Amino acid sequence: MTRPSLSQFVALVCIGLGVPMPTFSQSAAPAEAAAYSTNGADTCLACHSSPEVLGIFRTKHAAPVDPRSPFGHGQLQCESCHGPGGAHAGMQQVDGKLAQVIRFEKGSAAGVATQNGTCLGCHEADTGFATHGGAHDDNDVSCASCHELHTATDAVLGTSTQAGKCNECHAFRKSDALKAYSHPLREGKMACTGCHSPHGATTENLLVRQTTNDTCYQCHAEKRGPFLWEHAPVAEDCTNCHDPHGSNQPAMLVRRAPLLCQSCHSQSGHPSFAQDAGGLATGAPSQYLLGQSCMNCHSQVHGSNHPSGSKLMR
Amino acid sequence: MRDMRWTLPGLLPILTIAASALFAPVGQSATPDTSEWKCERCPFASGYQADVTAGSSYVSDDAATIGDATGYDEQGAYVNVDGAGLYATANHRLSWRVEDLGLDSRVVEIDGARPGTFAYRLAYSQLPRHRFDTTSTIFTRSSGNLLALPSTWTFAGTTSGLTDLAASLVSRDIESERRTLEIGGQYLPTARFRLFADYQRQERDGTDILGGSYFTNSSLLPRHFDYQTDQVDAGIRYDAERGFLKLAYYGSFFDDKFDAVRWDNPFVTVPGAEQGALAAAPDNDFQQLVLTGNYRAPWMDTNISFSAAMGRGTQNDTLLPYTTNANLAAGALPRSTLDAEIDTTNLALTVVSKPFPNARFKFAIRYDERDNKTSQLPWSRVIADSFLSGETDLNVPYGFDRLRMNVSGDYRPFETVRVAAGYDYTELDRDFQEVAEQTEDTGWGRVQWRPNQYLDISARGGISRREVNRYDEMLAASLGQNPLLRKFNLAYRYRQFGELSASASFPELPITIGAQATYADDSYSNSLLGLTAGDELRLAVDVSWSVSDQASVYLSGGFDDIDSQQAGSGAFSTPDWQASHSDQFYSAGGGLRIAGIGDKVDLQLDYTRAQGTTQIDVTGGGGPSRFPDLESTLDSLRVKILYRWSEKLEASLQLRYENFPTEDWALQGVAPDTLPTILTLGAQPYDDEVWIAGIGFRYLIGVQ
Repeated sequence: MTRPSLSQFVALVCIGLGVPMPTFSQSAAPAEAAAYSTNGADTCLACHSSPEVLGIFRTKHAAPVDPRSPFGHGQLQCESCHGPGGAHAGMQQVDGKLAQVIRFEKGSAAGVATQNGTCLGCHEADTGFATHGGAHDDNDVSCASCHELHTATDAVLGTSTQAGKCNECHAFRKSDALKAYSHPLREGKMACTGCHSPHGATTENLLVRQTTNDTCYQCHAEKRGPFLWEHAPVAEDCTNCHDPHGSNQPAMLVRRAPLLCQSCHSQSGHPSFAQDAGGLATGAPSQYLLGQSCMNCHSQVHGSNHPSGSKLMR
Repeated sequence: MRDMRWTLPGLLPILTIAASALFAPVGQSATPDTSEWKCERCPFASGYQADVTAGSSYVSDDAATIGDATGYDEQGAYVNVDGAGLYATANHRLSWRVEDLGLDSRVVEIDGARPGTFAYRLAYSQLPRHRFDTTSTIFTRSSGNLLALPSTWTFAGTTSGLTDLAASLVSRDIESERRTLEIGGQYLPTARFRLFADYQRQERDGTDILGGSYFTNSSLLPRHFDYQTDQVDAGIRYDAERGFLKLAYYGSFFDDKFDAVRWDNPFVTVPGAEQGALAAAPDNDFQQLVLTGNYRAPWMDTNISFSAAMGRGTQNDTLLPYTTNANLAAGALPRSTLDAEIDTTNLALTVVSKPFPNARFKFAIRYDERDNKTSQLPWSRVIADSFLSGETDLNVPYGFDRLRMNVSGDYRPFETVRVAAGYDYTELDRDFQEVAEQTEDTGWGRVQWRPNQYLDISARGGISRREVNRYDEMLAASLGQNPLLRKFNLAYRYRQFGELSASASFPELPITIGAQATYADDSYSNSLLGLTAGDELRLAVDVSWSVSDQASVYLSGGFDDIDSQQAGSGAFSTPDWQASHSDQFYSAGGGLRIAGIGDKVDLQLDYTRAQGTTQIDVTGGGGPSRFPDLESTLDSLRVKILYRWSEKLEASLQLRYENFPTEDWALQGVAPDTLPTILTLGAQPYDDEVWIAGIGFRYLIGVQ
């Protein structure tokens, strides 16, 4: 039996699902040289003068003194971003519809590549060096999916409002922030960009610093050491024990102590003993289970700088 | 460790190639003659504009969890101010923003710029943390950060004999505050160059919980801490037609105001061990040079990004003596400071190319090294300031280097379908640990289907296998470990994972629906002791409906189930106990927005319920296996009604309800003297319920 090709397979699936057949991709036909408007923004604003549009003039994009700004001297004003608007302003018809300019929104006919190409024309370096091939680029996320340009306060740039915007796609992070132990994103006192560089980075998970630990140490430098007595998993990766997005467990631990500790410590004696429910306050209260559990005594779990601290108790 | 060092001479050829590529000329696109464009209709920002909200709130009860990060921790009235403003001239922009000015969570930000020439920023923020308000202690902090016992105190071997305990307990909240000051700016001497510098100072002080042990006893201490971290980011960036180069410096300097946490031991001790001392976090610094760059090659739509960083962390705090016990002849320290040093190297290269319009390839490689150059020295050990151990321990300067490689490609056989596949490789070499060499191979594939702009469905799945060259049981035995244990981060692991996501928009209604699911299953099949298995399932759904131009409704929900199994051996032999740990969490929320009710009133309503449950079973210990569930439930309701008096003035009424009861057997019923050998702070599970009612007036100043 001859195996179906991928195209045939997709065709079968489409027929089965009752959806229109996909069309084969084609390279874009060379566009005709598009004309710009005759008077720039004055042409555009003759029709588009709603507060939603005029909000651009409260932003850095509308700074005449900045030669790099779309409204800088000699620049193309609205058409710097929206592309040549001559046909649109001249009410020309294309395929029976009014000729369009580049619109920055979901479902725009311009497509993500064109939209982002427009933004990156000026912001290539601003967006970091790894936009191309970064996670957002891989998933065809447009700049306008996150950024609002015609408003003085772009929600994704505000500490208190940023997480709401990111969570529109990163839904798991939204529920993480509601967990009993989490960083203060729900309260609007921390932004995702405190740790992540959404425009791209060569680091794992788009972290702002070179490693996970370097990122954590920005706010938790007391755990950086290097200590006289290091705790090996701590020095290697904070996420061995913590889930920074949130957890049911205190200190955002990935599991409850003492089980978390016992998954690596099996020394003869109390580290290896089963700590079952008989050790609760209602039974025979166990110092290995209650209060701070192992940290009742081994409190220097991030490392100790005490000469007698090899057991992380000093 | 790999012998991989990047010296300046070594980097020069790369820099030369990168720089010559950056300077390569590219074609100029034609632009129209804009000399006659006047922009007379453009309402450029000019003059002063501001938006200020002043109001007052009343909080119904004291509540640590509600006050955590918000500042609403105590019952009573609060006055608050929020606002933002902009002052603009033809050449300058100055904006400011204040948030929660009347609360401990206040934020003040000032940003200014002469656009295109320079920009500056000044910001200050506070972040209050409230961990427990149910704690009490016998200790009083005196000079030298000593936690002293009450003047009248009867010592005993266990907490039941501490007869002065009840009368000596004083309420002490576990709380802290972070204050952050930021000053920064950038200067653009030419269109291509950018100089930037940012300075940040974080101060953090307060009280946390630290266990201070004394042989078989311990006291949970309300430890006072006072930290300061200064951080500097500064550098220069050059933008070229086809990329950029950036050279940056990062420095982080941590200062702990205290060298130790000292406390009076409340238990009967051996002579001389009446006072204990824990080492405080040592002062340390980390400095790093980072060179990053990007080149957009003119061939095959190729983009090359790279990063090279070299850093050094040091720590030379004066060490405490072996013991506070003058009766013990512990000897001299090998040195008075550790003079610890870590060198870090981080190199990365990413190449993305689109040789065809419907195909893309990506190659990424990354190398991270933590080279711990701290000397290994022999250290004596005093056990809990009470006994000489008689042993000599060598400190272990852990280090590692990690190589990550990723090759992936995606292809669009049709306009609506994209398929992708990739292979990830990780190699991790460690010093002084049970596993010296570890590799992980991951293969994955993804299919995405976008039949139109309103529907997007994608599925991703793969497998990953982590192998170790050898688990050094001799090394493990030297640390007293059971030879059958495999630490979970060093163990063989087989992982299967999958993700599904879908989003759909129905523009006629208009409704948008998004759903995501992810699953991972881990098997540590070579581990007899330690973590043996784990799996994770996560689901999320979001629905939003724009009922009309004025009204919208949303619903969201999430579910997590994170399970793990592990085995232990109380007999220091083969497995004789098993444990399962199951974290479940669900959240559900909804809300609505109605604007312009009677042209005057806006309404916002949000309700969220989140519930976490942890189930733990430990079998084989001889006692009851099933623990009571660890539970936390959050109910949060927020209502805001806004009334527009005029174009300039609005009034708002806000109502917020938060209820956060928890069940936690580690705290429940654990009074300071419940544990015979541990004097605790008596922290109890959270059970907070608060109403916050507020009224505010928003006034707009200037032309908006």
